[in-house]
Amino acid sequence: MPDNIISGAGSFKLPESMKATTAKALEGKTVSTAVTAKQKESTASTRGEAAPSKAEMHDTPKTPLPSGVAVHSGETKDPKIIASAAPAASAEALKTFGKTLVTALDKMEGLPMIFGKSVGKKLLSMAQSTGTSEKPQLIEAIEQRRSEIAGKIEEFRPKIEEARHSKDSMHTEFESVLATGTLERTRGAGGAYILKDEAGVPQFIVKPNDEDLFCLNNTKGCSSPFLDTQYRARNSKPLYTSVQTAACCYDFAKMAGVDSITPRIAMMIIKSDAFHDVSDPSTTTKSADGIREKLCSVQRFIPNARDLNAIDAHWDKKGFSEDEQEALVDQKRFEDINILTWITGDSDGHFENILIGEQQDEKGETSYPISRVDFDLSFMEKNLQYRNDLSLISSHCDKPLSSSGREKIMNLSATGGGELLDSYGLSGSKQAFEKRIKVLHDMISNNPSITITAINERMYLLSTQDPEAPLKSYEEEQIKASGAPKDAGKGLDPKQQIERARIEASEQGLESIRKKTSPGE
Amino acid sequence: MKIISRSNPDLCLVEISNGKATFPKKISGKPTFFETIMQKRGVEIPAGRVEDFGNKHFIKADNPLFPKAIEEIYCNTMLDKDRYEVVD
Repeated sequence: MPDNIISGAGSFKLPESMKATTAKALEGKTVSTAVTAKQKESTASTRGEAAPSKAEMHDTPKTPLPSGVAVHSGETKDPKIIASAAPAASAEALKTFGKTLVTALDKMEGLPMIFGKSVGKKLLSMAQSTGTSEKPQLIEAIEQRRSEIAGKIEEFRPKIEEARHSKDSMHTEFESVLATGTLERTRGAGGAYILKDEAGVPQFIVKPNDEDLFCLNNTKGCSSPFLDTQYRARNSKPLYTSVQTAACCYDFAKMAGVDSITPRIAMMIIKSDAFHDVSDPSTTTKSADGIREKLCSVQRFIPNARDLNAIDAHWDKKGFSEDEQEALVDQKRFEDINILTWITGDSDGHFENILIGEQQDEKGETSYPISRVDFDLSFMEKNLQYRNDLSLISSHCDKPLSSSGREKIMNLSATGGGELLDSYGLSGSKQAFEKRIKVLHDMISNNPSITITAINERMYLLSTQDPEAPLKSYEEEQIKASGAPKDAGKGLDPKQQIERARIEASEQGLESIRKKTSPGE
Repeated sequence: MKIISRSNPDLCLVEISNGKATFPKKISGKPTFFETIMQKRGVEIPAGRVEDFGNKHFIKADNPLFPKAIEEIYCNTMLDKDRYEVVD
């Protein structure tokens, strides 16, 4: 791991050129924790407590700091820093801010790795600078996010309560497992938990809205106080919408009649002491100060499922030929996964989100149902960054879309889908969805024998070109070369545009996708 | 470093050694699924880091920057760490 990112100790490790800035910034940061002895005595006295011991007065942050950075705790000697840190805040508030700043910066360690070095500087500057309420700007941003997170829970409470009392609700079963089971945090970068029952058997996957990648309470070093487009997992997908998106996608799956290929998902408000807050000093579960209430998506766990790498190794060990392996993947389920990916315009259809189960029927015959999980990055506000790794891996793609598959898409109404998006507060995604559905309807109507491959190619075209591009009749060479970003090559003649697109597609690694998926190759 | 399955230590996705990536072959001698997908698509680079990767949004297996992309990007953002672990 390079120097410009993070050390294993969980502290910012910046390049030499930035060390001085870091030290200065961290000094500024400790100023917030650095309460003068006088202030401490005064606070203790007002509360009727005994004056703190000398040791207690030195609030050295427990978080490890970069080597070479001298952190001073206790009294600060720089009056300018004292003045800028918290001119009017109380000593206790200063102490709390200071601890939160140190802890929060530690949780944000992964941001420079993902978004570049400048985000580290920005965070440190926010920790040092006083905002409009006389608190450090980073604290203000954290408070703002917390307020929005709480608001989101209330926004969806009536909808969730209504669903909770519906006939086929998953809530009762979930609540009974939660009451006696254990919520364990998974190891992935996002903020998922596995709910295991009393016997330790996984039953549900729980994802709190605010612990997702780049959300405030992420525990995996990728906590972020920002909302801006440049600090998102996808520019066109607002943060704090993963729960609504996941639940909405399941409703879309039901609406389209493809819900058997993805586990059932519901939106719930869950209280647990396992949940994390950016101010928690530890990231282990049950380390919270108390019970926290969060807006979560709850998904049924798929038992006995392997990811594609594991199933590849498993089938190889069993000696199955490639043809035999292909035959083990059910075409209808494969097609239904593609349909849901097209409808939702998913940007996260990478192979880690495809799982293969193993079941035996009463005759002892084994089947391997393929499933898709994690549609959290679907329904982007623009039709960009479409991704469907299934298009890379199987000859199933070369088959024409079945008549039942065609019906599922043609029966899907843009209006009905738009209303569903509205009901989940995802109205910002409606326009892109409507365009996508129109393109899907048009391409299927225009070509009765269109293959899954051809639809995938055109979904990539929609994601990289204008909305008309997927509906044109393409020569093979043009399709191969169609990975250029929108607006690239504007003003060039068609031949130059294709060449420009070919070069850019190659740079982006998209050309190989089209080579693989173009018919006839 | 190696990426290995937690449930099946014999399953290694890739090994990075001396700045070079090696993909174990299947018993049948054919490339694994992981190798195939890394050759065809590669590791997706977040927008904020493309400058560090020759302004490319995807780094495929034949790119000299592939080991760096695996270590810095794939292992930190994509790898399912409940199923796989990174070992030295």
